[in-house]
Amino acid sequence: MWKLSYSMAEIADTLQLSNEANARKIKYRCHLALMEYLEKNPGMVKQLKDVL
Amino acid sequence: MKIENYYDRIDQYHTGELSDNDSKNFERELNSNEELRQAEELYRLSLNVLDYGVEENLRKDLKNWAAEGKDTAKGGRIISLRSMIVVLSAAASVLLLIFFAAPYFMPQPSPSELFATYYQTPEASNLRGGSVPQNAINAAKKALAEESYADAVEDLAKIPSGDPLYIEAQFYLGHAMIGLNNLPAAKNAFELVAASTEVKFQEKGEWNYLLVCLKADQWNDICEAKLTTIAQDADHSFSAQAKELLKKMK
Repeated sequence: MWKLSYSMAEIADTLQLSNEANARKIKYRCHLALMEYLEKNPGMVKQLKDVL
Repeated sequence: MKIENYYDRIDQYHTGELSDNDSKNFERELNSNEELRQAEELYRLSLNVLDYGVEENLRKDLKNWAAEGKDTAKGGRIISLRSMIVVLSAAASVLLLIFFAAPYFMPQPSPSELFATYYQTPEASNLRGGSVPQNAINAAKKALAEESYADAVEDLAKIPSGDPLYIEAQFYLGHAMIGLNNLPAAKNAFELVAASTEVKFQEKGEWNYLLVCLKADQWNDICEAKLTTIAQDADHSFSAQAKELLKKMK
């Protein structure tokens, strides 16, 4: 939803989170987790770079 | 590499939140700091993955392309799209793993860790409404924002029971007491808020009461029952967190 330009307030509302800060925190954690996964998997990074 | 050390700056740079000066400094550092450069590259790549993996319209397109691939026996383009679908499916699986499977592989967190995960101080935006405190609540909110917990308690003590602001005062008192690590007092304050009919604070009181029980290591069957009630109440503001917490505690 963040990538589709929904505001943090809209994300919090849709996911029934208590507030925007929670939505921001979740976005941060998930995005960081994805980046860390990519960092640990250089093979996948190479494949993705070829495709994307 | 600790990506989290760089994440905020990279994110601010990409979302245009840095000033011109800071942006230039960031770009300069990109050329001299190899870790930052790598982290920034991963950031951009992750955005590309999300672009492809998350955007609803593109997913629909991918499905259509996959269907076309089944109908068409030949054609180099189809092969490259198939490989793209395979890689993106893998990326999507990774995201699913991160979201859903990770909790099952992690050791059960301690009550203190669970408290730290779920506890939130009152939002800063609510705390800094006015520049000059006009009453005890405002003064207490300001003190809380500045982590002057003893001052906050002193201000809040001026609001007697029966005052229209009493429940709100007890809510902030609970947070101030957590700041002072006076957990029994925090528990009492949140219990009072939870028992009130104050719409704005009642659910917050219930949730924070349970978090204090966790932190104080006083979790019992009553707490469990209260948490289950919140989790089962879809309209409760903390229903989602309660469900999550219940899972983590099992």
